[in-house]
Amino acid sequence: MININAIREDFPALHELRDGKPIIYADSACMSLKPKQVINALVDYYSHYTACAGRSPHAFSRETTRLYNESRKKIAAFINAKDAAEVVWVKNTTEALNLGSNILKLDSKEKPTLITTSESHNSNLVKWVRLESIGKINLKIIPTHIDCAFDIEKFTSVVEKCPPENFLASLNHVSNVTAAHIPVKELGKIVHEHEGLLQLDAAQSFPHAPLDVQKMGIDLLGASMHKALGPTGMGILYGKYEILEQLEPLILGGETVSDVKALNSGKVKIEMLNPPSKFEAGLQNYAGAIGSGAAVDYLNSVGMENIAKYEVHLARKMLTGLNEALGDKIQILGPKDPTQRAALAAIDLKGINPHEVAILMDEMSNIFLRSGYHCTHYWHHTINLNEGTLRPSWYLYNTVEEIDIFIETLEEIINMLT
Amino acid sequence: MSFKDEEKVIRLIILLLEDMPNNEATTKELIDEATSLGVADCPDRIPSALVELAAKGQIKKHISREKKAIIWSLSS
Repeated sequence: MININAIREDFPALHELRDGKPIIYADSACMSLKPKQVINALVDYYSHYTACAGRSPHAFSRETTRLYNESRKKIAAFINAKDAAEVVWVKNTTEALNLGSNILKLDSKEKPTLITTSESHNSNLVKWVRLESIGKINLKIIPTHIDCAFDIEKFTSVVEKCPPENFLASLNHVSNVTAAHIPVKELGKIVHEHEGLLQLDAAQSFPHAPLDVQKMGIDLLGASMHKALGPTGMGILYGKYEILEQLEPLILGGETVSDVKALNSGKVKIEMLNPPSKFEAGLQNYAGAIGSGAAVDYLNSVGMENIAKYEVHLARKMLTGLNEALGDKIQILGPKDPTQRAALAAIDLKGINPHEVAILMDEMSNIFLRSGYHCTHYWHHTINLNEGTLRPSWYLYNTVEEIDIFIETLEEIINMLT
Repeated sequence: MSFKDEEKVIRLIILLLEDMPNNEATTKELIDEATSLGVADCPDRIPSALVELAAKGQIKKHISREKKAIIWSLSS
């Protein structure tokens, strides 16, 4: 069980007052708040042992190296990777997915195929559209059904036509708009039977529920630490080690090579390091990595099963409350069953502009949430929601009372405008 | 959003409002106009710029039930 009062005590931002009133933070799908344990880990690095990892023999550097490596091990354990070397530090999910897609052999005789879904975040779409436009890949977009059930039949028929050993299914684990989960294990099986690879956009699942990359059959996975109580500018790419060995880095430089030799011919020869080092060029975000370790420590201390259960409780409260109060005035996108979705909702306000509602929510009740396309422009356009949607997203530090205030305020705003 | 981008969106909103009848428009109308001119950043960036402009007193807002929307207008 979750001790919500104790959790809320850990998050300084929840105690900020605006105009003398508390804030209600409902934008965790974009950015989570940070517990003091993570903030302290960052401050400790900058206050007490600032240094480069692995470069110098002094005490600060040794401490940085120790905690930097420990954090990678913590992330590996958090997703049940076989080895810490399967975890690469990146900036965010976007960078992770871009890097993961380098596994496609763009210069092979038969053009590679990339499969994604229509509700994909731009992080899992824009690069693929770009590659297709310059003739490097075939892009297949599986349309998301209106009820958000994953179209396994359609997916299978697309996979069957893909070139073996040169296709990547890059799929959202949990959508940041429909809130729906996909059946990862089942889809991975289909992909592997046809000799392809499965890359998971875990931006909206990594912070909210247990993940087991081995049991789920995931080849590559991207996640952002800033959505998981961690620092901004930090993310991870998980990859099976044998895949990381084949993967071409996005950038090269210091720390990616074991040696740079002068050959007798006058040429220069580089000797690349093994994963994950070959992907981590230049000076790294050591504070960010150490803060990321503190974030997963915090999540583990609460328990990912507990967080997942609590979020179902929040999702149920939100769906029931919204339907009772505003059922005919709004449309909540995504699955109706709270056990089948994340604790977020893209809400169609049926002719009322979502940005204006978000502005009024902030003004009237200090409710902070997001409005618009949520980086899923394509999906909103395909379902003719061209003004976007209003999206509250809840996390382990939110309460059912906050959801009540959100619903009451939304009702008040809709009445005010109509 | 970089500082420059924010400045750009703010300047754009002022220019658009200056061209609108009665110097006023809804958020949707501003986004649509910016998009049609091909000068918009991501449309999701316009609302926060509107709030900034209102806080600085350069624009003001009122509710229109007829339009089911907030009307933004240039402060006189």
